[in-house]
Amino acid sequence: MDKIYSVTVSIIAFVVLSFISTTNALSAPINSNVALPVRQGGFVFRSQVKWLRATDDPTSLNREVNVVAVPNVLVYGATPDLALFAIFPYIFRQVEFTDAASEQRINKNENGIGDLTLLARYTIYARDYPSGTFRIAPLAGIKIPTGDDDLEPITTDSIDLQFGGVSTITWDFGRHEIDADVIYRINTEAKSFESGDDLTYDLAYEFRLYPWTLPDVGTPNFIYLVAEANGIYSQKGKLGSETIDDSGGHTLFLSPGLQFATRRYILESSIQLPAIQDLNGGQVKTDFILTAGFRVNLP
Amino acid sequence: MLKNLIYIVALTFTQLVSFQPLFAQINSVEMQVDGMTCPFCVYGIEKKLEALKEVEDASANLKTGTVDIALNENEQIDIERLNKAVHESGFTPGKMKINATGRLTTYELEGKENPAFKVTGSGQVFLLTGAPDHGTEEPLKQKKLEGPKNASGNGSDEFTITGYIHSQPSRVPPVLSIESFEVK
Repeated sequence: MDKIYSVTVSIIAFVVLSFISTTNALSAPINSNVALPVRQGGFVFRSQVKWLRATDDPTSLNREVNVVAVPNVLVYGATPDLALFAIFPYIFRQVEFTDAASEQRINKNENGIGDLTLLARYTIYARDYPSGTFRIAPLAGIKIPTGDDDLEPITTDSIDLQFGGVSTITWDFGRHEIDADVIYRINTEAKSFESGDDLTYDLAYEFRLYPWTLPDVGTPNFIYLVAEANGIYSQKGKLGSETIDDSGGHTLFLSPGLQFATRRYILESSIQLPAIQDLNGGQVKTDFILTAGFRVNLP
Repeated sequence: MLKNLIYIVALTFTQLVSFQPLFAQINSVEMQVDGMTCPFCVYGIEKKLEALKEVEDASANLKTGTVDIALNENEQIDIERLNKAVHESGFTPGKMKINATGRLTTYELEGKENPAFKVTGSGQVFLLTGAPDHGTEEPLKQKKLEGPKNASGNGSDEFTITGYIHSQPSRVPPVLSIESFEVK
């Protein structure tokens, strides 16, 4: 049962982790990364509540999974080009399934601190112009096993590495913004368990809905319509020397959202709906991920 | 009693001779900043500029891609410091336009007298374009330069000049290329 239970939540872990290890501290995308700068010596704090619900179980376990992750991100502008991120999530998990022996519904709840992720993003190319900017920034990070053991395998005892890149282009004085990123995660083995490596990719488009035309003077608050595609390829995990067949696969979410941006803070919300769920074996499928959050420029 | 009277008179006299204008006569500074396109980004630029001791307030205009900077009383513009602050906020500084009130003067550079503009209050000096070896030789700007020269006569009149400033090597005043001017 332990193994089945692990497998049950494995793919959920991948999905959740892929979206909490994000570097979108600044403007617009909600579930994607961004390459806009953080002022040198400045801090940005961001927190989101992400509710993932998965109920479509092809097996007789009839599993229902709810994960609420609260990824908190503190960003520090070390230099105009180098931003450092610390991501420390808090996670609630509830899994309900039918016990094959007793045919009783079993409900398991855990909550605790997730694993800490540290990331560095360095802008290698920036082309600023009066009405916009174009930037490219590679990033690299490490996941440290600081999380609560009760949440395994969302948390793991492994030290995992990730690297990738993000690009942002804005034009027409903030009317339009496109962000794209690709991140590869090397997940290592610990306690005989190894999540498969995964590759996340995101493409986001933001459209400034309000104000339709900018005032002659000053900086108004903005409302953005956000449309994102958030994907993840995961390899199969391993338990000891055995490959977990019911793990890994490809998931693509389409994610409409809305964002309210001021000088000091951003409020945002989106819903991620699965467009593709090509999962290996008998895995429970995600119904949606609902996100609400804020970011604040610290003084 | 007499001693107190002398003291009061002396104090008053001291105050009178040490009188300085209460405000800098750099009336406005408009700095172009490339790359800023959202309110959340603008915050970092404004904070960086406002952290400078000479800056009282910085306010971004997204439509024009500029930041309006208000200087503290009697402070001078340090172009390099302003540019550095914008760089440190992660964006790209561009042209800097000022509106300042002051008087024409001259500035000696490499043995030559060059036309210059001395700001009332702060005493900051700008070389004026058209000056030999410094600035453009474009006829239009030369003509604009001739305007305040002629109007000023002996240089005692006060002008309000609008123009773009450009940094120079250290110990050389910035250059001010005149866009428009008026006699006060």
